[in-house]
Amino acid sequence: MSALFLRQGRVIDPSSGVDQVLDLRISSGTVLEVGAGLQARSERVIEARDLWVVPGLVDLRCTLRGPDDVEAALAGGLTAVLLTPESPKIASDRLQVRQAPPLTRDLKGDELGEVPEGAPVLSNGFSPLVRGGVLRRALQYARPLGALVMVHPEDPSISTRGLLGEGPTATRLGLLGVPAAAETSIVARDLEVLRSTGGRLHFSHLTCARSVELVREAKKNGLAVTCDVTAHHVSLDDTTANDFSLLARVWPPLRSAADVAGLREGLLDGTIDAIASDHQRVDVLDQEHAFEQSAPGVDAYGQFVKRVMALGLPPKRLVELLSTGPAKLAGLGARRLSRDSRADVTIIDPATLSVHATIAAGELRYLQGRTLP
Amino acid sequence: MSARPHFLALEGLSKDELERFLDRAQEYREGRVGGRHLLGRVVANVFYEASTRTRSSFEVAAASLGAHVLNWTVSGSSATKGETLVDTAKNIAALGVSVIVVRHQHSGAANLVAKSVNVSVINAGDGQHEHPSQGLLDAFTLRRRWGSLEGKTVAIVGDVLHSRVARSNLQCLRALGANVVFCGPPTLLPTHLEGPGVSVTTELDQALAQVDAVMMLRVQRERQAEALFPSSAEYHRRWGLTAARAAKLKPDAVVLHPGPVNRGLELAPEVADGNRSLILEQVENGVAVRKAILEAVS
Repeated sequence: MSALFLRQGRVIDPSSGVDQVLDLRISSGTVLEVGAGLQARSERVIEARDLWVVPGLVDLRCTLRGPDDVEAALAGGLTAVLLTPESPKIASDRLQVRQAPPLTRDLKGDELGEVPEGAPVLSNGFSPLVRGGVLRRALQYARPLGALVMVHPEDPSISTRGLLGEGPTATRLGLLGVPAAAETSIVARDLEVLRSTGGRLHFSHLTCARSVELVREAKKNGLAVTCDVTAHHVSLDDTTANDFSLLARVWPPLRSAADVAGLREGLLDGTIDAIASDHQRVDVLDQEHAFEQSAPGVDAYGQFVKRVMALGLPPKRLVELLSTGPAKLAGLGARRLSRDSRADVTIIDPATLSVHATIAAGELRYLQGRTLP
Repeated sequence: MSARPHFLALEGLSKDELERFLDRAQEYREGRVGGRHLLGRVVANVFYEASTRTRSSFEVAAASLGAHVLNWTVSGSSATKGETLVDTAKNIAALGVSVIVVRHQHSGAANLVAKSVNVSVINAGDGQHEHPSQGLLDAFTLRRRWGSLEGKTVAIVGDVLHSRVARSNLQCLRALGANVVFCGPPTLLPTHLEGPGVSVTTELDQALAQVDAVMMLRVQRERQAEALFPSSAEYHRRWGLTAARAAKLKPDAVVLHPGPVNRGLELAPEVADGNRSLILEQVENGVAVRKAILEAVS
């Protein structure tokens, strides 16, 4: 077990209300000490001057295919991830990995899936819940268990074979547009169902400004609803598809600049609870086809922190969206940087908007471009 | 990858660039140039989608410029065995061809081929994106008739949503100074078509009132299976160019169709064969226009 000393970083820890330059001593996987003017002993010292020291980042949704993806996550500043039910099962002693069990059997949206003892989250992954009655039963069933019901809001009869948010770019490129109503109509339906059943509902990867409005209103009315967006949906709009760039080959689809602005508003005002990666690598061979035939996905971790940092959010809010918020939703407990807390720490360089170091469970796993054993 | 000249879309081409193509096509059309510019070259026709006239038109154009034409069809190739588009394109390029003419059912395919190989690529239609040689030959046909497209109004009628011909024509007609009126069932009109010189209506009689040309789009029969309109009969009644409608057009207005025509669906037979129809002339002009395109990229 390593002993680490993080010298003079800007420690941003919303859970304890701290935002100041401090030293941090880590040993045996735990934060031993946080304070000003501490002296390093025999620990390995990481100079953190001018860097942000924040609770380890948590990814609420990703698909990991193997050790390469684990290392990509660590290099991307992640210390814990929640796999989608579709993801291969991955075990890692380097990264904290949990997997959301399927909300419905085989994610088909017909029958409820089995709920493992104590599961904090049930997810239907990337599969829509076409039948509102199934969501109703899921919320009813999960309510006494306190489990979060995570859904992908989409009406496939509206999205059909669409590829890009409906708009001038989709029309010009001849890529079938996905109307906003494919998402917003399900958000509205699900909120009405939630109102009648109670329980905790979470919308994955919202893309429409209107969806954020609906969630904002529902939260105002006291419904137990939460939601997340991805880093790419708050950074890129539909014009990314110009020239048929496969950067835009993601699902749900990229949307207009006005939608991106609406999502950013939701990040600022607290309507949105987390930023997820939706990391899902696409094989090279699956990219050697025309846009429609290429597999959707995003190799997210290389850009994840950079994209979020580029939004210029207040640092406390950024930490809530990348760490404490998703940790709470994923049932990983509080993420904090105080004495005796688990030493999951991400160090971010605000000058380059990039990850400087990742410390997972007290072990330095990534430092300045290098993965550590 | 390649800095070779391609012909992928009409979007982005200036009036001058378009007119250079049209002028050159005019020279070919009038037999003022014979040139065997492509002698000894190989032009590969790579068609992932059935096509008779576009493919034949490119073949005739290439052959009469002296090129050898290689026809690569999906059913007779490894594309059905799961080979990627990029891989197929690289293999064809490796045969030493000079030009790849590609037709594909998905938007952006020609673009991807052009990025993947060091060979000139001509888009012979990609998904719902563009069909630039068709757009150019339509403009050529109208220019031959009118002398100039400046200030003219052209109606594009039918399944605009799925039509690459409509998109190429929009770009070309606008660049050449014509106005465009789109008309079709509301379920077959994409959003955000309107713009300077471009209007949209669902009422055909209104669309046709002042136009100088009507471009009827082919209805793809499977669209009815997708329930994008209720029935063929209803389509014909509301958006078909019937003899009665054609009679109400401006006296010198002309009718175009990219073919093949669904006679009695989007276009009444007597209109298709009537004296307003330029449909056969479109086919005829196609060869001259494609010669100009082949020459430009070689």
